[in-house]
Amino acid sequence: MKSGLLNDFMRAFQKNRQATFAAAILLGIIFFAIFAPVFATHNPTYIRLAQEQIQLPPTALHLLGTDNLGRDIWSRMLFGARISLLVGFLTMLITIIFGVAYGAVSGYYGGKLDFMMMRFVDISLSLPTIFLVIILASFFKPDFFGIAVIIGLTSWMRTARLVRGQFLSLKEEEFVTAARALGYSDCRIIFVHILPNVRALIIVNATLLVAQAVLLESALSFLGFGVQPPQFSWGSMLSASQQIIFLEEAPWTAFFPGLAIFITVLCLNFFGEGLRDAWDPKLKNIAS
Amino acid sequence: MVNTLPDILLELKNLRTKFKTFDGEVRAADGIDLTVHKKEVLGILGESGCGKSVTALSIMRLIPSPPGEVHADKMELNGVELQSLTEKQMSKVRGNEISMIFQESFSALNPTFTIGEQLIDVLMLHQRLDRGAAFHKAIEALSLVQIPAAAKRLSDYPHQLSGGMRQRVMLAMACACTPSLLLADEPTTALDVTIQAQILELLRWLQSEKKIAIMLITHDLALMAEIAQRVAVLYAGVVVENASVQNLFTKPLHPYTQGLLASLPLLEAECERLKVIPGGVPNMLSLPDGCRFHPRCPHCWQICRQEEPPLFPQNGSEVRCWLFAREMK
Repeated sequence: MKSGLLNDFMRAFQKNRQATFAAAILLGIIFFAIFAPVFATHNPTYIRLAQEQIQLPPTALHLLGTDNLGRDIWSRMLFGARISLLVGFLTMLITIIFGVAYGAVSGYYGGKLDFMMMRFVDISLSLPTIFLVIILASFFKPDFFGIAVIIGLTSWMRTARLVRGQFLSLKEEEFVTAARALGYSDCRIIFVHILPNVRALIIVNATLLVAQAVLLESALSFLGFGVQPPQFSWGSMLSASQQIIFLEEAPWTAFFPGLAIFITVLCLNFFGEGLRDAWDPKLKNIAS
Repeated sequence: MVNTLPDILLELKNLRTKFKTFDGEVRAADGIDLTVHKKEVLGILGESGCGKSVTALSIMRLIPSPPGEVHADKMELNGVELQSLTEKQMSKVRGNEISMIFQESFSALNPTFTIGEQLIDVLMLHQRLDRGAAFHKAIEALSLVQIPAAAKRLSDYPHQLSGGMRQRVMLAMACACTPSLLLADEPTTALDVTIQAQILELLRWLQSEKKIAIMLITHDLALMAEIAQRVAVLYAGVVVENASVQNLFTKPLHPYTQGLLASLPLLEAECERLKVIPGGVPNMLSLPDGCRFHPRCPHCWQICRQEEPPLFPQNGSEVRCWLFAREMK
């Protein structure tokens, strides 16, 4: 009957046109990122400094024009998507793994341990994220994986709080007592028995985290602390276009990467909200 | 203490379970002595809040601490002191030697797994079986508790089963490893009468065929009369009467037990109102001095208000009441 539950969920999700549409666009973006070499028309890092090659407007040869170093923007967009999405995804994974484990342990054991762990969360939350990320990034000069770790380290707190709240109420359920009465260890009860009850919440949270991470990585790269050349992301493309002194001369160099970030984050948010609504039994009854 | 059954399975002496609350200390179990013999059904009778479930959870060492605190002079299962076991050793005892079933079978099963997954998981945990063997054992366990088409039911989620079915699944899980003691915490309270009878039959079968001793916690006198051999009556955290089931129903000694039995509606008897025990269960935060039952007792006399009575032996039973002190001398 697993498929039955899944069908119910899919039906509820598909009723949400906005979310379905967002999911389709996201799939498209991921598809283009994976097959970037197939769709790229030029080498994305090939520099042509001849005056007639730089800052070309979109043409048939350069679909989205070229940037200040004469590189093809369309090709760079495709390869840049890889880094942007990868950082977003990795950050989400790190955040979820750490945040969920932290929140689960804190909520399950409660008491003094919970108090200490939550105060640490409060402290971490009171540090301004972007500055912390910038400081860490300028200190370690990370590659894209390092960036994911840094962003992950600064965004796990909300996930931890969310999961802790759920665990606080779920651990009082009788099935937890029953599981203990059957002789399961705490570790097993936390991760095998209680955690699946929170999976919907975690998946929704994960989707929204990807969006957050894509934005944060863009901001970081825009400020020059993100991925370093020759690696590049949508954010660093924006940063490069900033160097063009007369932006009005070549607005497409900033417009297209910006648009890509905007669409991706918007779609991720719509998708996440769609997931949440489809999973929330209270909203479900009203909708159908 | 008279016992016709020789082998002691569980011996509990002076169990004290306290909870610290903002209003003060609640002594949910206040010196409970119990003995469960092998292969017997011991009934624990009492109203809500008199410490029945707390006793069971204390034996399982499942009282959350804080706020709970459990102390007993003796808590031995098969001669092994449960209080001295490490948490790891204790989790081997749970499910293997002592199992527990609960009143609400729906909330006691994990809603996110099929009953098959849950059963197989328990079997793999305690019997070191591989998945295939555990699968067959799970079907067997479900058939044992008389679930029709057991193999099919394995892929059902708890919400897809009826209350009676779920209670059977709980029993199957609890008894999958043939424990020596089953703590049944009001196993039939949430079920309707016909299903109750079936579960009762099943419990009786487990006791006689599988040799599982059962500690049956209930406030249902009829259920008790059906299945238990001995009964301990609990009132406000202490045992007030220990008796064989025949003695309890034919010659109840403690005024509280007498009151309970008198309050049963009888079909033959013509009476206009049900007899009730006046008053209510005392507030556990401020227990009365002397005998805990004295404010509601029709036979209350001087000493009852001043001193708590010990258990007095009386005709093969034990009773915590001053009325029987004279006859002892």
